[in-house]
Amino acid sequence: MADMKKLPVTYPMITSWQWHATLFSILSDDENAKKWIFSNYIQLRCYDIQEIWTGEDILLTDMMPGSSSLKQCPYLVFSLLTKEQIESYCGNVIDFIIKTIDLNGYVYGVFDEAKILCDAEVDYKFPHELFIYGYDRDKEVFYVGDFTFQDHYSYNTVSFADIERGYEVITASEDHVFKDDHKGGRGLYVVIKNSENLTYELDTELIKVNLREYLNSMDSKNHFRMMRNRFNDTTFGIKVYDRVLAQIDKQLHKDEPDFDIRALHVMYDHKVLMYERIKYLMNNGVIKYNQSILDEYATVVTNMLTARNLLVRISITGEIAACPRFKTYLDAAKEKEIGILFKVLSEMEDK
Amino acid sequence: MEKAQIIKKLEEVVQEVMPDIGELDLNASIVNEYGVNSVSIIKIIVEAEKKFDVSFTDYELALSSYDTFADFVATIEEKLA
Repeated sequence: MADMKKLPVTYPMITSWQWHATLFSILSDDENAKKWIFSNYIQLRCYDIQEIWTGEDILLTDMMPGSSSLKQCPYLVFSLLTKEQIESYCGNVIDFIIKTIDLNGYVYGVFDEAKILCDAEVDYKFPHELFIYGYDRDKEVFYVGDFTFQDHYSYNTVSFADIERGYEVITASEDHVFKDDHKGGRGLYVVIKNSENLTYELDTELIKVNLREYLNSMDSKNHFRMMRNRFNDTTFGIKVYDRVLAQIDKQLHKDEPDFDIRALHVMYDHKVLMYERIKYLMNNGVIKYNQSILDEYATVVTNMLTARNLLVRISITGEIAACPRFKTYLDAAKEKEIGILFKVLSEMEDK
Repeated sequence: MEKAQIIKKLEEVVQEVMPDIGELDLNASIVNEYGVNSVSIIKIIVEAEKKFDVSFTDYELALSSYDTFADFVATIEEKLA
């Protein structure tokens, strides 16, 4: 084994959720992967769930594909290893992670980050997905990516001891990533980048379908019934704006206002990606180059960002009275986006 | 208000919001050099509004509006003019 190895990462184009930050850390600057990325992440959806560790009701908002992207992306090779396999093959999780990285495997899974983030002993757990992309045996640290070290996605180091402790204390019932796949087990994902060969072309048919479903708020989950058929009451597409607005309004008018802005981060990232997608389609001759469309969509991105920033500001100042301005920015983003994307879809359908 | 006073007060604001930041180079990248992010810039703006008795528009909350603290000083100078 080497003394140190860091697999390549690029600060992700979007972050939103850890599964997106991880995938985009690995694939953001890969030209083959962009063909898959820009064919996907068009549909938006949201549904009510209970927050894993607080039990509070939240509105989970995400693009499609969501957390299944690490398994389904054609430019990644995905493996799932149970805790029993890890112990049987390597004896301990530290050796497993080092050997996996030596074989160019990124590691992803749930660790108790209370043990990682706090110097003092704490009597609670904070299970969270951690992305591991390197190690240094001399310093006894792993190189990791997550949202939890600073108030935005960042790359950091965590000691071998904290990783081991953070891994061992998580039970199967607390491993919210693994239990969906393994029906109650505990383990880790290994993800290997596999993009040397072009295995997925830019899919203009899929883009058209996704744009249509997004603009018409159509139910996209039916495409995937062959793989899963347990669903929550889900809102799709443009209607996500309205549901998120209603949720934020509800949160802010509680007795103790709740400033959960994760839905806004996702929606902003969705617009950032959409802008890059439109530019990519233009630069690759799928649609005519049209700077005014790019400029117009840039205002969608700006209004979405402003809505998000305003909510951050409200969370700092408590000025709930600013809420109507928040709605104004969301409405402006929505109306402009609908107009532009119908134009883009129409041009693609005419070809 | 003189520019030197603006700079001094801004340094106080930044130190309050980001106590570990150390000495400020006004022309250094606030993102690359000081790790300012989209949340911390809004915290700095909220405190600056109180310190200088000015208002920032919602669009001015964006991190991309400021490459350096010198840009921030310039924005405050405009608002005080």
